[in-house]
Amino acid sequence: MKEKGFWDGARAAMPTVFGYLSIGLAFGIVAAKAGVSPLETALMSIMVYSGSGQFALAALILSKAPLASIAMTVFLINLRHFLMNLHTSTVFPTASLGQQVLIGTFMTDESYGVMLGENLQNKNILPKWMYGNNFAGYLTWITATVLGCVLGGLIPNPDAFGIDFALIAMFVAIFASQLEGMVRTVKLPKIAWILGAVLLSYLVLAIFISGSLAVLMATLIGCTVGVMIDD
Amino acid sequence: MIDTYILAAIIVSALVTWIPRIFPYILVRFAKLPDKVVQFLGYLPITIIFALILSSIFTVEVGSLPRLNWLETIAVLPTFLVISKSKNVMLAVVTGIICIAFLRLVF
Repeated sequence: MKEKGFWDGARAAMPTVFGYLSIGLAFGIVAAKAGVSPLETALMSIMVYSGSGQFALAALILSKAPLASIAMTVFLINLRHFLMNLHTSTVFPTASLGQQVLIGTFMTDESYGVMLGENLQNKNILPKWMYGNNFAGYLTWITATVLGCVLGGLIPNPDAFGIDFALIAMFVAIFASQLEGMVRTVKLPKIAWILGAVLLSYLVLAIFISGSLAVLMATLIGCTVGVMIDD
Repeated sequence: MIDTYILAAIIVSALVTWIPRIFPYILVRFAKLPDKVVQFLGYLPITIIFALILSSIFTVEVGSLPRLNWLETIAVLPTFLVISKSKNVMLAVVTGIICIAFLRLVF
């Protein structure tokens, strides 16, 4: 089999590109409304590169929040990256630290998801495939957010066309393939317990803490339930 | 023109986002992951993807009960069916987009 390189990775990121176009445009519009200039939006997308983090950041900038609370909020929103990258370190165990840092710096929920899908059939993903997967999303995000900020109120709400659903659809597709892979090694009732734990804890936690923290905590609880049933 | 406050906010946010992204790779060079942690991480893909789907089909706000976004939830079903039958991610994504666009048009 021919090895999969940079452009194969970029092609695999197609659904991400669709999703980021729409969410990125939406973010650009929000940024413009929060008084963030196109140049600042570009800088933000280049340096922070996190959808949920940037939406929160724009809101915090608008309310002139102190830097310490900005730091804390964005940190907590993006803390799930720690878990995803800890897992990703086991997918690229032989890569050099430089290659791993390059992967981790540009990996998002979506490119992590695309990698999980690939990993089901391909146990030897090359770092360059992952770079392609990551950079397709990165370039799209920067372009779309700046475009959204420049165009501001001129373009209609991008959500109306349903393109924003691309990311949800992609997560659903990734979920289906993960589920299929897991059913081969884990008994169904156990999977049901784990997913039930995630669902219940997300719904209960979201009443008390922010959505992104609820995602993080529900994930931790789900994994813990999985490990506990193993014993 | 770049506002100093906005610039500082961007730099601070970039740092707190980047460190959790790269720290795991440094961590695993100093300590081998315990078996329990590896086992724990084995459940991460399915749980985190599931939690991210939940966060996209529920609207949440601190202090109030989560609200289900009906249209998105309904559109998830054909998406799931198409991916299960075809194994084609792009086809599933396009199906989902067409479904949600139709649903939003009608409701």
